[in-house]
Amino acid sequence: HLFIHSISIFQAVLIILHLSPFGSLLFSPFSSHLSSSSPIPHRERESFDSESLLSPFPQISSSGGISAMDRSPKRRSISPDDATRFPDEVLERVLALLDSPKDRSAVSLVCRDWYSAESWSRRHVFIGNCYSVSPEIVARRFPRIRSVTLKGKPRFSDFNLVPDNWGADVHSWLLVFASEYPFLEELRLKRMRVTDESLEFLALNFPNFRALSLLSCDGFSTGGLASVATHCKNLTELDIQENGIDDFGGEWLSCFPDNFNTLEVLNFSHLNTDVNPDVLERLVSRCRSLKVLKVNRSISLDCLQRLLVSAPQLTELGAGSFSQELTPRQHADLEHAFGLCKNLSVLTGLWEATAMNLSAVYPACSRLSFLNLSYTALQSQELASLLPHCPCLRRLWVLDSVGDKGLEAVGANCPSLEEIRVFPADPFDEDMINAVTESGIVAVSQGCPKLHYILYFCRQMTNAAVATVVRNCPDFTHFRLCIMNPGQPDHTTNQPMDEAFGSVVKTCKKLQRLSVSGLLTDLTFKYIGKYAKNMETLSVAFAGSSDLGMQYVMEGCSKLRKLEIRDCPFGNAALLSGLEKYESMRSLWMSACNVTMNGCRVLAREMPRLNVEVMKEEGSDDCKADKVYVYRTVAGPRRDAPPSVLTVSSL
Amino acid sequence: VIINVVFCPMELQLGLSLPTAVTAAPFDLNGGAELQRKHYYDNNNNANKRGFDLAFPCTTTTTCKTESCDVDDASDIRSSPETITLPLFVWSANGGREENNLSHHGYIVERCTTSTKNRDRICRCDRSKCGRNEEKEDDDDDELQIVGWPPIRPWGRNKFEESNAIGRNIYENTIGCGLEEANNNYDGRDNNNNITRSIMSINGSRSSRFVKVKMEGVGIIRKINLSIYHSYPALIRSLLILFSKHCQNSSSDDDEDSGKKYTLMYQNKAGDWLTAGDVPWQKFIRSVQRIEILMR
Repeated sequence: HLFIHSISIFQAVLIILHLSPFGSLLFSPFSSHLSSSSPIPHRERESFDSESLLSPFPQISSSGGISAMDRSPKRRSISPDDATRFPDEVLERVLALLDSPKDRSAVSLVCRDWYSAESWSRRHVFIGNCYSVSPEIVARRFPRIRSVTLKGKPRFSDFNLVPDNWGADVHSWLLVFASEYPFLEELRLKRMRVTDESLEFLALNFPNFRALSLLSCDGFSTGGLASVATHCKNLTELDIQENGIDDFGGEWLSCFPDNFNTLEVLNFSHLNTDVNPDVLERLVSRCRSLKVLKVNRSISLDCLQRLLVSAPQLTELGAGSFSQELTPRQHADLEHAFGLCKNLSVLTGLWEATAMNLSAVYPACSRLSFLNLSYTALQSQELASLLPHCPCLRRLWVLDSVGDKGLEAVGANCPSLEEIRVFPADPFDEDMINAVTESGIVAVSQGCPKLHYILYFCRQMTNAAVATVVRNCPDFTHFRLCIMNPGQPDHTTNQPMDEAFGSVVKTCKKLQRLSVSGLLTDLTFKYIGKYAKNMETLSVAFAGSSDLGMQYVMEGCSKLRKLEIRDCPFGNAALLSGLEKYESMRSLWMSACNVTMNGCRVLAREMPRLNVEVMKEEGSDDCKADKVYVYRTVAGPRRDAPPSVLTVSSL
Repeated sequence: VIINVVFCPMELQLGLSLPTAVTAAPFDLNGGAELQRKHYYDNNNNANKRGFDLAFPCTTTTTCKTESCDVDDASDIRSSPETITLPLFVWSANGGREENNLSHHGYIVERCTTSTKNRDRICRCDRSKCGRNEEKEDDDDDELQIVGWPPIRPWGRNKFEESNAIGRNIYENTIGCGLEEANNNYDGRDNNNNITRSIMSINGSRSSRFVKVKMEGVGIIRKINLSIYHSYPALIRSLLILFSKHCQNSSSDDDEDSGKKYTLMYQNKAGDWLTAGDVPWQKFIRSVQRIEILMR
């Protein structure tokens, strides 16, 4: 007998687990997220919701017989085991504290009571592929959702490999949400199509709406933002990032009412047109809870200085243009303003920062954990001057203009560094003399043993360097190497880069995400299939020698969830080797490979719960499947596909 | 202009494919595509080779570089939207760049310029037969671009312009060697502080205008953003900085009047090579495609 009021809820949960005969099923530790109010970045919210959404309720041989798809809530089950019989209300209260989708999925599989308690207590749902499920099914499965994260187009749409009118329109979701989740508070969309009408509909139909985040979306304009600003009375978050939008001017910012003061997150850094700095300053000064402010390039340094003075509580700052020439007085004022910001943990923006101006940010860097310098092409000495001021740096994004010397400075000054991303300043300039090479990445790995995330664009690499890097940092979870010239071998030995990635997968047992590049034969994939047992995402381009390559991966990588392939010699045999795998994956993308329509038809016939879609290029061979996108779904074939997207049926 | 045919269009139509890639889009000569041509810098200044496209009749939808053709502005070319089926990626900063650069074996791109965006079509052909010249010319340009590669998001990313470094250099450094200044048809701006200030305050310059600059005898081609300059002297100064180390004589002390003289040439949209400075700056900016510094 448990006296819930006298012990903490967490202890109660633990006791439930120990006593429950199914406790052993709950192997994953609880997450430390206690509150769901802080926005969790897309990356961290990994989806296991799709499993509980899609898989029918398993046949657990336990008491009482459990029927699949039992959706009647609030019914007490007849369980012979007293210890698991809790009043629903108590169970829901306890389970409401769980945030991690993995934990929730595990909980929902325990028994029917827990399934329904979990579904009633779930407030947030993450849908990694908007076509894997329909909004009606989601609403039936989780009746009390307050926060939705939706992802739409395949990732390669970022690189213009997907037609503009492909789909992933959010409007049909909003229509269902308006009736099923009228109290929706948060909506986070990635790679979805969002129109101004949808934004207006959102603003008008959800009175409790608080947080809107749009990343890599398209289809809307600043008019849609104006609707949101005008009508969402309780808005706390407006995060507009890297979208393809029509920017008709900055008047949307003036649409926030004069008494509006609840904003906590404001990010408009990628809008191009000017906003009124006075309007922004007034907005910032009355929103006392503002924690995240990321402005666009139109905001001058004078304005930024005033913003910082009125909002020193900021934890994340995206500065605007940083190239303006400052008088000594202005520089001192700016430096003083940065000095007021004692809580800054994220600093980004800093467009085209000059060395002189960059020194103004030093006073704010002492607690900085994430520094994004990818909007300014710093030289190595500028980076070397800046880094000693950031002792706590954990994440760093830079351009390759810093060169190997700059990366040596990183290795020397950032012992706590966990993530580094090096982007090309000019991806198409082969004459780039200061770009980074294999020495840079080795230097970083030598100085930063905690490194676990790397994204590295370079023009040359060697097998030995990669082996050294993973030897220095064996804990990589994300290893994304892009040698920008496709099919380029090791530049010292002229051998393929097979051994490089072989060493990565052999050494880094925790590897979750891998992107390969350079000249690669099937051997790379043999290594991947054999060693990369925890890998969930694999991106392949211009690699491989035969179908065997992909077969190795499909057969060996048991945890694979997302596979994207372009320009590789993998054909139908390769595609069909993963037949049994695709239902446990989120999606497969294959473009410019050797797959034919016939192969797709066979796949569609054998696996009816997959959508096999082919995007045809005009004028190409009728039997070629130019771009293939395969994903699991419980919603059946798409009904909104444009003419260029064919859903392959087995006919 | 020196133009060479780099591949055989007939082979493209047969849809040859690379060992590692398939789907050669058939090459449509009349589809409003302007070919990417490889340029070779010929020391004999042989500017009379006819390009591939000149062998084919002009229609209103094809680009034509002959003087006799009415269609003389590449930006007038429009392809009917139906022929462009692939949304294609051109690394465009804020205004769209004029040139695509990425040397890569065997991947050839047709270029359809539309009024709003640059769109490229990918065409793959058999590497061995495409005739792409294997010799590594240092002044290789007008290279080929693959759709969606490198995999970087086109928006929001680092739009650094090399001009930024030049601007700072002008601010901090002095000028190197002597350069024969072009005739001054510029807009009369004062040479000194105004220029450096206009270069420094780039604050959100939205349209970039990148052109390649090659100096005779120098292996490396540089690229600059013309949109930040407002006059010929400004441009010349920054070019001096860029190529300063190649300008120096062996006796690097004297960098004033002694030493070599250079001439600034540029290639306009029609493909002709002209001396820079003859036309007003604004007209120059609109028509320049690439720049060369020749020793005279």
